[in-house]
Order: sequence, then structure tokens, then C-alpha cells
Amino acid sequence: MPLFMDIAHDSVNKVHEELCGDNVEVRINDESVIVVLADGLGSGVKANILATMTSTIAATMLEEKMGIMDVLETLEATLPKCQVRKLAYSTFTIVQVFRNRTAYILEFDNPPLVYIRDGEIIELDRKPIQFQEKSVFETTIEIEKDDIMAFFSDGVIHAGIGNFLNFGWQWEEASDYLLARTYENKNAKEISMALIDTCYNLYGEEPGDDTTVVVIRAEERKYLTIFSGPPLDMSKDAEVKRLLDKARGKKIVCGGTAGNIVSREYGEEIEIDLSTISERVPPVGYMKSVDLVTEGVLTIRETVRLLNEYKKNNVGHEIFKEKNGASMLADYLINKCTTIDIIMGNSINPDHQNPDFPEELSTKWRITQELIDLLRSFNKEVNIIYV
Amino acid sequence: MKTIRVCVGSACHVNGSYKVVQAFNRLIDERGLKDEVELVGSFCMGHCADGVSVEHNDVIYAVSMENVGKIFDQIIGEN
Repeated sequence: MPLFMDIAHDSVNKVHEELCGDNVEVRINDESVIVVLADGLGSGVKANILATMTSTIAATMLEEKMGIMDVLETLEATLPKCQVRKLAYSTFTIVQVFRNRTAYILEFDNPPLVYIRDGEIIELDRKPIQFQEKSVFETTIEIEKDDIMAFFSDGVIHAGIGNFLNFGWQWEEASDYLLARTYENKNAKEISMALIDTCYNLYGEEPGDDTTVVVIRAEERKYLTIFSGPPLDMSKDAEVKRLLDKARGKKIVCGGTAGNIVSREYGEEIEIDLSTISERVPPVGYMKSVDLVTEGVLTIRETVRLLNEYKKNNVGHEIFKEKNGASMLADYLINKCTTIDIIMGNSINPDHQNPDFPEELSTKWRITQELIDLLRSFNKEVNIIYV
Repeated sequence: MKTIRVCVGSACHVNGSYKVVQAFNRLIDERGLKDEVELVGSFCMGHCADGVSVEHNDVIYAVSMENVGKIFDQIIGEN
């Protein structure tokens, strides 16, 4: 079974710049996961274009199975030359992890990738290849469960120069910082956010360079199945039970009517925990064959709101700890699974279409789509099964 | 022991299930009926258009904050 790659990246721009001169390109397909971090020379528009071109060209060519020398030659021939420095230049780090757990790492002038295994930073067996009279380093390694790869633009190791630290933050310190975060059992997003926040603070909130970090964490896949919304065709209710029976991992039912169907098909009562009721969200329920039953549209809407806030870093981990349906659902989705199967019915509650009702009731389908997009942005694998 | 089921489905929640549950709990406390009345939740009862659905002995009442006291008396009073 291929490992799941939990990937996250964060950036801060050089002070007063609207565009980031670093760019991260992520490609996920059936064969491999490709992540490219490019840091364009200079800052602003020019750097942004260099970085975007470099990362996009590299990711696209690797995705199309071109050899690494072809990629390097294409970059050399395509990148515009910097007028000031007469160089076509963007540093980059490429990581490609194949299904068979082989990871291929290519590094060109970015700070060395930090590879963490079993709570230690391990030395990579880097082999040099020549490109633009410079050395590009190539590494092939068998990836293991819980390995963490972190790589960053030089903005990270320059953080604090001339401000809080005379010579900035050294690679050793940045990598020790990352290592310490992994002991806290954080996910990729939390690690990358922590590092970026620290750099931003070291810069005194005025970064002297574009600063970007990418974190990749190899995990065992954890599954979650959500049944949301009854089938349009009522005769298919039994089909839902069959799907739930063979579903992988934890099971959640989102929707009152959906809950009633599951309760009937399994012949089990739903016990509603009234203490979880709140002004915004109806309470959750429990039944033997599934892990959680929540109400549908209001709960999903609130979950989307919470996750948007979490994504923008406006709120922290506390949003997963509240005792209400939306918080519990968010916790399952973000912290307890890598892969989500959504069994989605297209039935519409006719009462919800009543024009006297608030609009929010008639939009379950749309809000579910929004949730799916959001989950994908958190790097979750989402499969939809229509019934 | 009487069981009062309050619908906490989407539509009823929008119509005020939260306040109705609070009101019932308060009434139960005030009158010391903790051992006689059990308040439980239920997902959609299929009467989404008529206010908060509350069920007791197979009768479904459409409850609002205006009539919650009256309906509580009605349920407690009947026997």
C-alpha cells in the first residue's frame, strides 16, 4: 500500500512586496507525488515569474516522465536572463515520491532538505550532477512511514539578520526547530505554519526576503466514510447500508433524514446527546454501527466556517476540542483521516425549499461542495460516491 | 416517566430547537419534574414546515417560544 503524503507549505513575502518570489508546485497523480519549491532571483514580479516558471516546468515535465537532464536543459533554455546579474536563475528543490515508496530528491542551491526519520535528522547520500557550471544534488531514498521532509527557501535561514540575530538563523537551528516540532506530533500544516511564524517574528515582522517552507510527512492512510444526504430514489436506501457495511475506517452520517435511514436499515436507535446542542449547531447522535451522527446542512456550514478560519490561521487547534457537531466533524476530517469517501445522495428535502425558510437550508449541495474543495486544499483525498 | 422528543433536524433547529430545549429544561427544573419527564432529541420527524416539532405519545406538536409553556402543561396534564 502506498503511503499517504501529508503536504503543506507556507510563505511570507519580503516586506512591501505584493508577490512572493518563491513558488511551490504540487502535483499528485496515480504514480507519484511531485513537490517543487523554486526561489526566483531577486524579489517581486521578476522573482515570482522565475519561480513560477521553474516550478511549473519542472513539475509538468516530471509528471510527463521526462528525464531529469531534460528538465534541467529546458529550464536553462527557457528562463529569462536577469538583466542585473546576467543569469537565468532560480534555485529549486524537487521531491518526487513514487507509489513504491522510492523518493527522488533533487536540490539546486536551496538550503539542504531536512530529512527526519525516527526522531533524528539523517544525512542524505547526495550525488552531484553538473548544471550551469553548478552542482545539482540528487538523492534516492526509500521512504518509510512517519518520515518527514522539510525544505525551504533561503529566507528561512536569513531570518533575523541585522535584527534580532546578527547572522540570521543558521540551517542547524532551523532544522533543530523543525525536529523539535515533530516531537510534538504535529501534522505537516502545523509544522510549516510554526516555522513560518517563527521566521516572521525573527524578521521583526518585516521579512528581508521571501520566505517559504514545505513540509511532507509520510503516513499510513486512514479512512473516513461520510454518508451525507439520502438517495433520490428511495428504493436505494438498502444500497446505502451495503455501502456503509463495506466502508473503510470511521463512519459518520451527516443529516437528520440520512441518520433516520441508517437507523431504520440497521434497526438501531439513534441516541441524541442533547448536551451538544448549541445556538449554531444541532446536537450530535450516536448509534452502534456508525461513529457519529450529525445534522446536515447547518453542521456542515459551521464546519466549513471553522475550517476556513483555521486555514487562515485566525484560530488554532482549540476549534477541534469543542463539544458540538461542527467541531467534532472538523476534528474527524482534519485530524483523524487522510482519505475521505463521501456517499452523497441527491434527494432534496421538499420542506427546505419553502421560500419562507432561510436560504441556508436549501444549499446543502453547494455547502458540501465547498467542504470538499476545502478538504482538498488541506491535502485530503476525497472520493465521492453518488447514490 | 413521560418522554418528550424534540426535533433537532435542520429546519427545526433554524426555527428555534435550541431555545425550546432550554425552555423545556427550565420548566422541568422549576417544577421539579426531573424524575417524571425525560427530554430527548430526534432527527427529522417530517413536519419541517410547522415550527419546532415536539412529539409525545405519537402526537406531534408545533412548538414556538410563545406556546412552549402551554404545550408543556398540556403534555404534563394529560393522563
